[in-house]
Amino acid sequence: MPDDIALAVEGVGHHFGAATVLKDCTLGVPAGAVAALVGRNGAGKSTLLRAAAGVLRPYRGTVRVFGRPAGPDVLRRIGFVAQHAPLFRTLTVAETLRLGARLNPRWDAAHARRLADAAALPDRARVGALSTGQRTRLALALALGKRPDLLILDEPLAGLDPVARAEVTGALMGEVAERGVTVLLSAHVVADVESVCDHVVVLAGGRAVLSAPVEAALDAHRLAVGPARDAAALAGHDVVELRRDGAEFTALVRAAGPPPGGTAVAWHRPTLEELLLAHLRADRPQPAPEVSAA
Amino acid sequence: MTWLALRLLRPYLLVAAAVTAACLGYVGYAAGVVQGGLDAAEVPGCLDPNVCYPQGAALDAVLGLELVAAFAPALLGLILGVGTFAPAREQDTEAFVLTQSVSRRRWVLTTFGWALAAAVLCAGSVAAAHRLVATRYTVLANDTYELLQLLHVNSPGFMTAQAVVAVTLAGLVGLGTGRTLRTLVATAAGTPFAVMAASLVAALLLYPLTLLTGAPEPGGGSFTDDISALDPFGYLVAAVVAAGAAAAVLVAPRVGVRGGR
Repeated sequence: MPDDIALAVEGVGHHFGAATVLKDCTLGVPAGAVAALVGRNGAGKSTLLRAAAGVLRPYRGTVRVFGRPAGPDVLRRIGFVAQHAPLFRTLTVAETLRLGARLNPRWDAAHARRLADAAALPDRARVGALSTGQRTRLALALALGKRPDLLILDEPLAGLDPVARAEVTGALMGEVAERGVTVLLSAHVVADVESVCDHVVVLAGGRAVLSAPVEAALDAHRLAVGPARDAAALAGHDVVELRRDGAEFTALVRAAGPPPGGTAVAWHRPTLEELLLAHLRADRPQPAPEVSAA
Repeated sequence: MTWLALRLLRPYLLVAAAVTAACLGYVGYAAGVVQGGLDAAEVPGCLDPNVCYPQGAALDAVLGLELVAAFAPALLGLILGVGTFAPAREQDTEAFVLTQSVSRRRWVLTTFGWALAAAVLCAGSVAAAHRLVATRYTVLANDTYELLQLLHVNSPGFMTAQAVVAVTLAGLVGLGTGRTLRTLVATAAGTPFAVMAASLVAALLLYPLTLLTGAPEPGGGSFTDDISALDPFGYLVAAVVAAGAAAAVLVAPRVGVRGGR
């Protein structure tokens, strides 16, 4: 597999006990992309990211990072920050940074120190005494200190205040601009990913229902809004989600040619939020698209 | 990795060291109490319970020595074993370690290695002190505390093996479940059964070995023979446990890779 695909997930299935989390999940993240992995709570985002980072071995399918199986062989090329940025609470900030140096042959101490200083992390403070934002910044400094080629972040902005969000996002974008590192980050707040990501993966029902560059994904969909009596205009379209609100309907469809005329239905290019929300809601049972004209 | 393993085990190592020191101190103190009783009775070298059966504080001291020998090794193993993997998985710091250019195998083997080494050192110290300093006094109340003696058979090998069993079991359960309390309970409940299983294997091995090497010469009927009578069995149990622990440690990196808790 060439190096232009940073992460290739093929037919991955996993379960915890009786609960199936991923089933036949397939997606790809191109090298250099900043990809958002979006899904509802329990959609399997963390499981997928842990499989990509080599922390978890899925029951079925393959996960390849830069063409090699996820695991020890590619660990040096991956930076991973798990959900809630788990670090050893009894270590100090300085000890944690030294730990990064001990455990990573490609460790860039100066870069990690710069990131820690930028976050104003006190060297002698215990990790357990840091705020959520500070702990996330420290975990990010450790992940970036490895000089990874693929950075995997599991809800890195969760629980952060707006200032900390901006700072973390800024640090992340700085790394992307400087080194062209590939980033895959999960989120369930669409606003978190809108300004930073150029690739989007939507996980629903254990599968990747959408995996594409943002602009291409937006171009490939249309949002139709109109009176319920004109819902028949959707016939022949691949409807992702259809919602009815009184006499109105809203539908997201996969675009296949110019929208039909002759009805009161308005067709427009969806925003990223509309696109993602529709795909996420589509995981639930949908009303039948064949609506009879009232 | 060694630095991290020792740093994370530090609180458990400190507690284990404190328990070991307390046990060693008690063994010395209790032996002194019994010897004091013998001195007072003007039979300082007596080893025959028919002549100098301990009374009062001396009998209590012998009970204490038996309790230390019977339960301290497993307790030390429990302390050291529960801290190996369960907390790391429970707090998800495992994910941090395993994405730091360190293979899962190296992390598991290093952590297990240091925990087992510490268990052997701590439990071995208590067992050796018991054997060298205290066993001669426990002979004086053999019949009274026979059941407790079955739990350690006066053998340093057997006692140390108990600690090894507890560390190994706790490590595996911790890796598998990722829950500290569950690991603690399962290890406390499972260690006696694992030791019994190892003893059964050793007993089965001992019989053909006895046929091959010849039965040991019967003792002269002295009570002091009880001190070393079960040494072959004790060391064989230790060998069985060592082999089992080695196999378990080698398998351990494969435990918990599915990430379930």
